[in-house]
Amino acid sequence: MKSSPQRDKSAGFALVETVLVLVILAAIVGVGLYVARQKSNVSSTLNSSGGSSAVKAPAGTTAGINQLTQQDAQTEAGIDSSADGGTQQTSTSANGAVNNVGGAYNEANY
Amino acid sequence: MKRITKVFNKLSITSSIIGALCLVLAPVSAYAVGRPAGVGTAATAASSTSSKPKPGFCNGLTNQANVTNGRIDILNGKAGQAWSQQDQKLAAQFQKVDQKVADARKKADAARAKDLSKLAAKATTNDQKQAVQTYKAAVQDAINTRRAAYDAARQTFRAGVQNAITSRRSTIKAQLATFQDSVSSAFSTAEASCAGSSPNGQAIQQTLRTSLKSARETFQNDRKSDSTIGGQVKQLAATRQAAFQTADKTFQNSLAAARQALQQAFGKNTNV
Repeated sequence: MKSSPQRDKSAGFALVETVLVLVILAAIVGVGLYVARQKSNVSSTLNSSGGSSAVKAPAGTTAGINQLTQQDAQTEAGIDSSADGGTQQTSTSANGAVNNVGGAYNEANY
Repeated sequence: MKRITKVFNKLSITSSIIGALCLVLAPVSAYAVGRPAGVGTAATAASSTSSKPKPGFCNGLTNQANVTNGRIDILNGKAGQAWSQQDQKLAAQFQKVDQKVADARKKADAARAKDLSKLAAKATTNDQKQAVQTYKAAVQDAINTRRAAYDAARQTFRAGVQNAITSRRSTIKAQLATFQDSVSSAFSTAEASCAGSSPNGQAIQQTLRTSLKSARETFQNDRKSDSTIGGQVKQLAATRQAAFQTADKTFQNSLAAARQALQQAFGKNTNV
Protein backbone atom coordinates (compact mmCIF):
# COMPACT_ATOMS: atom_id res chain seq x y z
CA MET A 1 0.00 0.00 0.00
CA LYS A 2 1.87 3.02 -1.24
CA SER A 3 -0.88 5.46 -0.50
CA SER A 4 -0.89 4.89 3.27
CA PRO A 5 1.78 7.56 4.17
CA GLN A 6 -0.19 10.06 2.16
CA ARG A 7 -3.34 9.10 4.05
CA ASP A 8 -1.48 9.37 7.38
CA LYS A 9 -0.28 12.82 6.41
CA SER A 10 -3.74 14.05 5.53
CA ALA A 11 -5.17 12.49 8.72
CA GLY A 12 -2.58 14.45 10.74
CA PHE A 13 -3.44 17.64 8.98
CA ALA A 14 -7.15 17.10 9.72
CA LEU A 15 -6.33 16.83 13.43
CA VAL A 16 -4.30 20.05 13.36
CA GLU A 17 -7.13 21.76 11.54
CA THR A 18 -9.67 20.57 14.10
CA VAL A 19 -7.51 21.80 16.99
CA LEU A 20 -7.06 25.13 15.22
CA VAL A 21 -10.79 25.52 14.71
CA LEU A 22 -11.45 24.66 18.36
CA VAL A 23 -8.87 27.22 19.50
CA ILE A 24 -10.42 29.91 17.27
CA LEU A 25 -13.91 29.03 18.54
CA ALA A 26 -12.73 29.19 22.14
CA ALA A 27 -11.14 32.59 21.47
CA ILE A 28 -14.35 33.92 19.88
CA VAL A 29 -16.49 32.63 22.77
CA GLY A 30 -14.01 34.09 25.29
CA VAL A 31 -14.03 37.52 23.66
CA GLY A 32 -17.85 37.39 23.37
CA LEU A 33 -18.25 36.57 27.06
CA TYR A 34 -15.82 39.31 28.04
CA VAL A 35 -17.67 41.91 25.95
CA ALA A 36 -21.07 40.77 27.30
CA ARG A 37 -19.77 41.02 30.86
CA GLN A 38 -18.37 44.47 30.29
CA LYS A 39 -21.68 45.57 28.75
CA SER A 40 -23.74 44.23 31.66
CA ASN A 41 -21.38 45.97 34.09
CA VAL A 42 -21.89 49.26 32.27
CA SER A 43 -25.68 48.88 32.17
CA SER A 44 -25.88 47.95 35.85
CA THR A 45 -23.77 50.99 36.70
CA LEU A 46 -26.07 53.17 34.61
CA ASN A 47 -29.16 51.67 36.26
CA SER A 48 -27.83 52.15 39.74
CA SER A 49 -26.89 55.76 39.03
CA GLY A 50 -30.23 56.43 37.32
CA GLY A 51 -32.22 57.12 40.48
CA SER A 52 -31.98 60.14 42.69
CA SER A 53 -29.49 58.21 44.78
CA ALA A 54 -27.51 55.02 44.23
CA VAL A 55 -28.82 53.49 47.47
CA LYS A 56 -32.31 51.99 47.31
CA ALA A 57 -34.67 53.90 49.56
CA PRO A 58 -36.71 51.79 52.03
CA ALA A 59 -40.05 50.50 50.76
CA GLY A 60 -43.22 52.08 52.15
CA THR A 61 -41.65 55.51 52.51
CA THR A 62 -42.09 58.71 50.52
CA ALA A 63 -38.38 58.49 49.66
CA GLY A 64 -39.00 55.03 48.19
CA ILE A 65 -41.99 56.28 46.22
CA ASN A 66 -39.96 59.24 44.96
CA GLN A 67 -37.27 56.91 43.79
CA LEU A 68 -39.71 54.56 42.08
CA THR A 69 -41.52 57.30 40.22
CA GLN A 70 -38.29 58.94 39.11
CA GLN A 71 -36.98 55.62 37.88
CA ASP A 72 -40.24 55.19 35.98
CA ALA A 73 -39.65 58.54 34.26
CA GLN A 74 -36.06 57.66 33.42
CA THR A 75 -37.08 54.28 32.03
CA GLU A 76 -39.60 55.97 29.74
CA ALA A 77 -37.11 58.53 28.52
CA GLY A 78 -34.64 55.70 27.93
CA ILE A 79 -37.17 53.78 25.82
CA ASP A 80 -37.64 56.80 23.58
CA SER A 81 -33.97 57.63 23.20
CA SER A 82 -33.00 54.03 22.51
CA ALA A 83 -35.46 53.99 19.59
CA ASP A 84 -34.04 57.20 18.09
CA GLY A 85 -31.27 55.45 16.19
CA GLY A 86 -33.84 53.26 14.44
CA THR A 87 -36.05 56.24 13.63
CA GLN A 88 -33.09 58.13 12.21
CA GLN A 89 -32.15 55.13 10.08
CA THR A 90 -35.72 54.61 8.87
CA SER A 91 -36.07 58.28 7.96
CA THR A 92 -33.29 57.84 5.39
CA SER A 93 -34.12 54.26 4.38
CA ALA A 94 -35.72 55.18 1.04
CA ASN A 95 -32.75 57.27 -0.12
CA GLY A 96 -31.14 54.38 -1.97
CA ALA A 97 -34.25 53.65 -4.04
CA VAL A 98 -34.65 57.34 -4.86
CA ASN A 99 -31.02 57.77 -5.87
CA ASN A 100 -31.28 54.72 -8.13
CA VAL A 101 -33.65 56.66 -10.39
CA GLY A 102 -30.63 58.72 -11.44
CA GLY A 103 -29.04 55.55 -12.77
CA ALA A 104 -31.91 54.74 -15.11
CA TYR A 105 -29.72 55.19 -18.17
CA ASN A 106 -26.24 55.71 -19.41
CA GLU A 107 -26.29 58.48 -21.98
CA ALA A 108 -23.14 57.13 -23.62
CA ASN A 109 -25.14 54.17 -24.89
CA TYR A 110 -27.41 56.33 -27.04
CA MET B 1 -23.74 -4.39 -37.32
CA LYS B 2 -20.65 -3.91 -35.16
CA ARG B 3 -19.61 -1.00 -37.33
CA ILE B 4 -22.98 0.68 -36.97
CA THR B 5 -22.81 0.33 -33.18
CA LYS B 6 -19.31 1.86 -33.22
CA VAL B 7 -20.52 4.82 -35.24
CA PHE B 8 -23.45 5.28 -32.88
CA ASN B 9 -21.09 5.15 -29.90
CA LYS B 10 -18.85 7.80 -31.45
CA LEU B 11 -21.85 9.96 -32.21
CA SER B 12 -23.20 9.72 -28.71
CA ILE B 13 -19.79 10.58 -27.17
CA THR B 14 -19.42 13.58 -29.48
CA SER B 15 -22.92 14.82 -28.72
CA SER B 16 -22.30 14.40 -24.99
CA ILE B 17 -19.13 16.53 -25.21
CA ILE B 18 -20.94 19.20 -27.22
CA GLY B 19 -23.80 19.13 -24.72
CA ALA B 20 -21.42 19.54 -21.80
CA LEU B 21 -19.65 22.44 -23.53
CA CYS B 22 -23.01 24.11 -24.16
CA LEU B 23 -23.91 23.77 -20.50
CA VAL B 24 -20.65 25.45 -19.50
CA LEU B 25 -20.79 28.19 -22.08
CA ALA B 26 -24.50 28.98 -21.92
CA PRO B 27 -24.45 31.07 -18.70
CA VAL B 28 -21.31 32.92 -19.87
CA SER B 29 -22.83 33.87 -23.20
CA ALA B 30 -26.17 34.63 -21.60
CA TYR B 31 -24.41 37.03 -19.22
CA ALA B 32 -22.58 38.68 -22.10
CA VAL B 33 -25.74 39.01 -24.18
CA GLY B 34 -28.11 39.92 -21.38
CA ARG B 35 -25.95 42.61 -19.80
CA PRO B 36 -28.12 45.71 -19.51
CA ALA B 37 -26.96 48.60 -21.60
CA GLY B 38 -27.39 51.31 -18.97
CA VAL B 39 -25.75 49.55 -16.06
CA GLY B 40 -22.36 51.23 -16.36
CA THR B 41 -21.33 54.22 -14.27
CA ALA B 42 -20.75 57.69 -15.60
CA ALA B 43 -17.02 56.97 -15.70
CA THR B 44 -17.48 53.92 -17.90
CA ALA B 45 -19.99 55.88 -19.87
CA ALA B 46 -17.43 58.50 -20.68
CA SER B 47 -14.84 55.95 -21.71
CA SER B 48 -17.24 54.07 -23.98
CA THR B 49 -18.53 57.19 -25.66
CA SER B 50 -18.05 57.09 -29.40
CA SER B 51 -18.39 60.15 -31.53
CA LYS B 52 -19.77 58.20 -34.48
CA PRO B 53 -23.56 57.87 -34.47
CA LYS B 54 -24.80 54.30 -34.45
CA PRO B 55 -26.34 53.20 -37.73
CA GLY B 56 -30.04 53.96 -37.84
CA PHE B 57 -29.74 56.34 -34.86
CA CYS B 58 -32.90 58.22 -35.83
CA ASN B 59 -34.79 55.02 -36.66
CA GLY B 60 -34.31 53.52 -33.20
CA LEU B 61 -34.80 56.75 -31.29
CA THR B 62 -38.49 56.34 -30.45
CA ASN B 63 -37.85 52.87 -29.12
CA GLN B 64 -34.93 54.11 -27.00
CA ALA B 65 -37.06 56.93 -25.65
CA ASN B 66 -39.76 54.45 -24.66
CA VAL B 67 -37.28 52.08 -23.04
CA THR B 68 -35.61 54.89 -21.08
CA ASN B 69 -38.87 56.43 -19.93
CA GLY B 70 -40.07 52.95 -19.00
CA ARG B 71 -36.95 52.38 -16.88
CA ILE B 72 -37.42 55.69 -15.11
CA ASP B 73 -41.06 54.78 -14.42
CA ILE B 74 -40.02 51.42 -12.95
CA LEU B 75 -37.38 53.03 -10.71
CA ASN B 76 -39.88 55.71 -9.71
CA GLY B 77 -42.26 52.95 -8.70
CA LYS B 78 -39.53 51.32 -6.63
CA ALA B 79 -38.91 54.63 -4.86
CA GLY B 80 -42.65 54.76 -4.10
CA GLN B 81 -42.49 51.24 -2.68
CA ALA B 82 -39.50 52.24 -0.54
CA TRP B 83 -41.55 55.13 0.84
CA SER B 84 -44.45 52.82 1.69
CA GLN B 85 -42.06 50.47 3.45
CA GLN B 86 -40.55 53.42 5.26
CA ASP B 87 -44.01 54.47 6.52
CA GLN B 88 -44.76 50.95 7.70
CA LYS B 89 -41.41 50.59 9.43
CA LEU B 90 -41.72 53.93 11.16
CA ALA B 91 -45.26 53.12 12.35
CA ALA B 92 -44.02 49.76 13.68
CA GLN B 93 -41.14 51.44 15.50
CA PHE B 94 -43.45 53.99 17.12
CA GLN B 95 -45.88 51.24 18.08
CA LYS B 96 -43.04 49.29 19.66
CA VAL B 97 -42.07 52.31 21.75
CA ASP B 98 -45.71 52.75 22.83
CA GLN B 99 -45.90 49.11 23.85
CA LYS B 100 -42.68 49.32 25.84
CA VAL B 101 -43.82 52.52 27.56
CA ALA B 102 -47.20 50.96 28.40
CA ASP B 103 -45.46 47.90 29.87
CA ALA B 104 -43.06 50.06 31.89
CA ARG B 105 -45.93 52.16 33.23
CA LYS B 106 -47.89 49.07 34.21
CA LYS B 107 -44.88 47.69 36.05
CA ALA B 108 -44.23 51.03 37.75
CA ASP B 109 -47.89 51.34 38.79
CA ALA B 110 -47.80 47.89 40.40
CA ALA B 111 -44.58 48.64 42.30
CA ARG B 112 -45.89 52.03 43.46
CA ALA B 113 -49.22 50.55 44.61
CA LYS B 114 -47.28 48.07 46.73
CA ASP B 115 -45.19 50.84 48.30
CA LEU B 116 -48.21 53.08 48.87
CA SER B 117 -50.09 50.32 50.67
CA LYS B 118 -47.09 49.82 52.95
CA LEU B 119 -47.08 53.56 53.58
CA ALA B 120 -50.83 53.53 54.28
CA ALA B 121 -50.32 50.78 56.86
CA LYS B 122 -48.19 53.20 58.89
CA ALA B 123 -51.13 55.58 59.34
CA THR B 124 -52.80 55.06 62.71
CA THR B 125 -54.92 58.18 63.26
CA ASN B 126 -57.68 59.50 61.02
CA ASP B 127 -55.59 62.58 60.25
CA GLN B 128 -52.71 60.41 59.15
CA LYS B 129 -55.01 58.23 57.05
CA GLN B 130 -56.42 61.33 55.42
CA ALA B 131 -52.90 62.68 54.82
CA VAL B 132 -51.91 59.40 53.13
CA GLN B 133 -54.97 59.62 50.87
CA THR B 134 -54.08 63.22 50.00
CA TYR B 135 -50.47 62.19 49.37
CA LYS B 136 -51.58 59.29 47.15
CA ALA B 137 -53.82 61.58 45.11
CA ALA B 138 -51.04 64.16 44.77
CA VAL B 139 -48.55 61.53 43.63
CA GLN B 140 -51.05 60.16 41.12
CA ASP B 141 -51.75 63.66 39.83
CA ALA B 142 -48.04 64.38 39.46
CA ILE B 143 -47.54 61.10 37.61
CA ASN B 144 -50.49 61.77 35.30
CA THR B 145 -49.18 65.24 34.54
CA ARG B 146 -45.69 63.93 33.89
CA ARG B 147 -46.95 61.14 31.66
CA ALA B 148 -49.20 63.49 29.72
CA ALA B 149 -46.23 65.82 29.17
CA TYR B 150 -44.12 62.88 28.01
CA ASP B 151 -46.87 61.71 25.66
CA ALA B 152 -47.22 65.19 24.22
CA ALA B 153 -43.46 65.51 23.70
CA ARG B 154 -43.43 62.08 22.07
CA GLN B 155 -46.27 63.04 19.72
CA THR B 156 -44.54 66.33 18.85
CA PHE B 157 -41.39 64.38 18.03
CA ARG B 158 -43.28 61.93 15.84
CA ALA B 159 -45.20 64.65 14.04
CA GLY B 160 -41.89 66.43 13.45
CA VAL B 161 -40.35 63.29 11.99
CA GLN B 162 -43.38 62.74 9.75
CA ASN B 163 -43.28 66.38 8.63
CA ALA B 164 -39.57 66.16 7.85
CA ILE B 165 -40.16 63.01 5.80
CA THR B 166 -43.19 64.45 3.99
CA SER B 167 -41.36 67.67 3.21
CA ARG B 168 -38.36 65.69 1.96
CA ARG B 169 -40.62 63.57 -0.23
CA SER B 170 -42.24 66.54 -1.87
CA THR B 171 -38.77 67.94 -2.64
CA ILE B 172 -37.74 64.61 -4.12
CA LYS B 173 -40.97 64.31 -6.10
CA ALA B 174 -40.29 67.71 -7.64
CA GLN B 175 -36.71 66.65 -8.44
CA LEU B 176 -37.98 63.41 -9.99
CA ALA B 177 -40.56 65.26 -12.07
CA THR B 178 -37.91 67.69 -13.33
CA PHE B 179 -35.62 64.78 -14.16
CA GLN B 180 -38.36 62.89 -15.99
CA ASP B 181 -39.43 66.02 -17.91
CA SER B 182 -35.84 66.78 -18.90
CA VAL B 183 -35.33 63.25 -20.22
CA SER B 184 -38.62 63.29 -22.15
CA SER B 185 -37.81 66.71 -23.54
CA ALA B 186 -34.31 65.59 -24.62
CA PHE B 187 -35.79 62.69 -26.56
CA SER B 188 -38.61 64.81 -28.04
CA THR B 189 -36.06 67.36 -29.28
CA ALA B 190 -33.94 64.60 -30.82
CA GLU B 191 -37.01 63.02 -32.45
CA ALA B 192 -38.09 66.39 -33.86
CA SER B 193 -34.58 66.97 -35.24
CA CYS B 194 -34.60 63.50 -36.79
CA ALA B 195 -37.93 64.28 -38.44
CA GLY B 196 -36.35 67.27 -40.24
CA SER B 197 -35.57 67.31 -43.96
CA SER B 198 -31.83 66.50 -43.76
CA PRO B 199 -31.06 65.40 -40.20
CA ASN B 200 -27.46 65.39 -38.99
CA GLY B 201 -27.43 62.15 -36.99
CA GLN B 202 -24.10 62.85 -35.30
CA ALA B 203 -25.12 66.30 -34.10
CA ILE B 204 -28.54 65.06 -32.90
CA GLN B 205 -26.91 62.21 -31.01
CA GLN B 206 -24.40 64.52 -29.35
CA THR B 207 -27.13 66.96 -28.31
CA LEU B 208 -29.21 64.11 -26.89
CA ARG B 209 -26.28 62.78 -24.88
CA THR B 210 -25.44 66.21 -23.51
CA SER B 211 -29.06 66.84 -22.50
CA LEU B 212 -29.39 63.41 -20.86
CA LYS B 213 -26.10 63.86 -19.03
CA SER B 214 -27.18 67.25 -17.77
CA ALA B 215 -30.55 65.88 -16.61
CA ARG B 216 -28.88 63.00 -14.77
CA GLU B 217 -26.21 65.17 -13.14
CA THR B 218 -28.73 67.80 -12.06
CA PHE B 219 -30.84 65.12 -10.38
CA GLN B 220 -27.83 63.47 -8.73
CA ASN B 221 -26.45 66.79 -7.47
CA ASP B 222 -29.86 67.75 -6.06
CA ARG B 223 -29.96 64.41 -4.27
CA LYS B 224 -26.54 65.00 -2.75
CA SER B 225 -27.33 68.48 -1.52
CA ASP B 226 -30.40 67.62 0.58
CA SER B 227 -29.29 64.83 2.87
CA THR B 228 -30.12 66.51 6.19
CA ILE B 229 -33.09 64.48 7.40
CA GLY B 230 -30.98 62.44 9.84
CA GLY B 231 -29.86 65.68 11.49
CA GLN B 232 -33.45 66.92 11.66
CA VAL B 233 -34.53 63.74 13.46
CA LYS B 234 -31.62 64.11 15.87
CA GLN B 235 -32.65 67.69 16.63
CA LEU B 236 -36.28 66.65 17.17
CA ALA B 237 -35.14 63.94 19.57
CA ALA B 238 -33.07 66.47 21.53
CA THR B 239 -36.11 68.76 21.78
CA ARG B 240 -38.22 65.84 23.04
CA GLN B 241 -35.63 64.90 25.67
CA ALA B 242 -35.51 68.54 26.82
CA ALA B 243 -39.31 68.49 27.19
CA PHE B 244 -38.98 65.29 29.23
CA GLN B 245 -36.50 67.00 31.53
CA THR B 246 -38.80 69.99 32.04
CA ALA B 247 -41.66 67.61 32.88
CA ASP B 248 -39.36 65.77 35.30
CA LYS B 249 -38.56 69.00 37.17
CA THR B 250 -42.25 69.86 37.56
CA PHE B 251 -42.89 66.30 38.65
CA GLN B 252 -40.16 66.35 41.28
CA ASN B 253 -41.42 69.65 42.68
CA SER B 254 -44.95 68.24 42.98
CA LEU B 255 -43.64 65.11 44.70
CA ALA B 256 -41.57 67.16 47.14
CA ALA B 257 -44.63 69.26 48.07
CA ALA B 258 -46.78 66.15 48.61
CA ARG B 259 -44.06 64.52 50.67
CA GLN B 260 -43.68 67.57 52.88
CA ALA B 261 -47.43 67.69 53.57
CA LEU B 262 -47.46 64.01 54.54
CA GLN B 263 -44.44 64.33 56.82
CA GLN B 264 -46.11 67.22 58.60
CA ALA B 265 -49.18 65.05 59.29
CA PHE B 266 -47.05 62.20 60.62
CA GLY B 267 -44.64 64.30 62.62
CA LYS B 268 -40.89 64.62 62.19
CA ASN B 269 -39.85 61.44 63.94
CA THR B 270 -41.97 59.03 61.91
CA ASN B 271 -40.29 57.15 59.05
CA VAL B 272 -42.59 58.00 56.16
